[in-house]
Amino acid sequence: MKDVSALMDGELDPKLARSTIARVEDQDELRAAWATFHVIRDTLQGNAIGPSRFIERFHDRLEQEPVPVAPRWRIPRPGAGALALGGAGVVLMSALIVWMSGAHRDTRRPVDAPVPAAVANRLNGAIAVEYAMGHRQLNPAFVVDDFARSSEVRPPASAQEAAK
Amino acid sequence: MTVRHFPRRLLLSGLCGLLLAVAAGPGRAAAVADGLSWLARAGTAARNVNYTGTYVYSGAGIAESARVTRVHAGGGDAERIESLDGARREIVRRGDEIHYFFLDSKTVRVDRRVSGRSFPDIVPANGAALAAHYSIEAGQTDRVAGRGVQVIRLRARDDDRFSQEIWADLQTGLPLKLRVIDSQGEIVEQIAFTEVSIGERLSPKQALPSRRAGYAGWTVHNAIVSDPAVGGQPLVEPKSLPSGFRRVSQVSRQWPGQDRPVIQSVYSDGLASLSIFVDPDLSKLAGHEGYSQRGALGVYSRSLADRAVITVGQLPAAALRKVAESLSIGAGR
Repeated sequence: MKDVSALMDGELDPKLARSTIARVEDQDELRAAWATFHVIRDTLQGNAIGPSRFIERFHDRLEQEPVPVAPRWRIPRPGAGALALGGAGVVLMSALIVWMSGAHRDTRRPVDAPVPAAVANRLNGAIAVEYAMGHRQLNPAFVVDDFARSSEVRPPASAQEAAK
Repeated sequence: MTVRHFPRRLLLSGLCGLLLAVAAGPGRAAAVADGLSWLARAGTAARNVNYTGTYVYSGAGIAESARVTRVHAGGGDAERIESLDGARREIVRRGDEIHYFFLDSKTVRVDRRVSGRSFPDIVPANGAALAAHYSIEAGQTDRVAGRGVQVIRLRARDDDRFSQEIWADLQTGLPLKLRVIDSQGEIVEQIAFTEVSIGERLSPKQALPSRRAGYAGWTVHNAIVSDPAVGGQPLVEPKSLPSGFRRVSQVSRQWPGQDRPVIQSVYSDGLASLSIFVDPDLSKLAGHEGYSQRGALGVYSRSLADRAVITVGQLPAAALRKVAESLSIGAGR
């Protein structure tokens, strides 16, 4: 901040001035970028906010940058309701399809499974999708759209090729 | 999220690694010292330099490519990972906040990072601590994605974890390739950049969601409910963990289509990690319990009293099973 005001007073040497400008640009760009993202998120969460409050919140966020504790559930779109309320069955089915798309190529090694391995692996696979994603959060190979209707779910391209 | 630090332990581990190296003779000692210093470089690179590139994950016979862009600016960082194969998925992380955009089904999932690092940010800041559980040494130089790299080998000191090899960029130290190897020397998982640009000035916009149009009609799901504590619920604790594994975080998650939260506890030795999920919906298991694996990731599900407990981690099958079978319901707190 001291550098910035020195810069504005023309008191910085050129080298420091350049780095200060770059830093301010970076931060401005970052702020603008994240403001955009917050707008996206607020829109997504149905909390679209007016301009005056937006600025207020924007400044709050710059100060604190908290991770907001968002409401647990949004109202699902029509048609998705059945999915959400229909419970684990549907979710697991679609998850199962995605997981199983590569399952025939999985190196699965059942360890004394109390039921026949194939059955255990299939069911485990369905369960595994959610948990695998919860654990390997930033690896897209484990990030699966468990909300998608089964008809919309496509196996990874590599699995499609493998199936040919 | 609770994060624990063990500075004294880290220091001891580092010393331990160096002593082991000295004991092994001068040539070996140099390789170990090199390995540790390369590991230190690799440990800081991802948290300091911008990068954007395409990597390919392969494990369990499947391969998936993704484009990653990570930008450091204004004292924070952001990252966008776009899947390039199959259903269109985009992961946007800012600090610990993660948004998953499922563009085909118009769904967004909001989550928080709990399970630590992911490629290429895979090496902890104090890599020397890993020497207690991995024998670390520098290997040969090589080339990955057209760039010169240094191989760092981390051989597991026991059968409770996988060995890993890291190809670190000669210029910046950024890991450009990772191999996870089992005790038979088989590669269980590999992630490698096919092209990458490192250290360039990037705009934070490049780490934003790529979709600029509106989100009307989208479904949003929030996966994180709250921090641990979990109101008096008895905790499930592992009696047996591979050496060096400590709990690094614990959260309460909201699962789609389910009211009652799932508790996730994450444990790590600094490199590998495992999560224990306690799910109150026992019917999910439907009586079928057991083990499955995809790449380096094993999943072991079992029932414990009236709960489903799912242990997920980058560990060999036997080690993961040992953890899962040692679980018991604690006194709560």
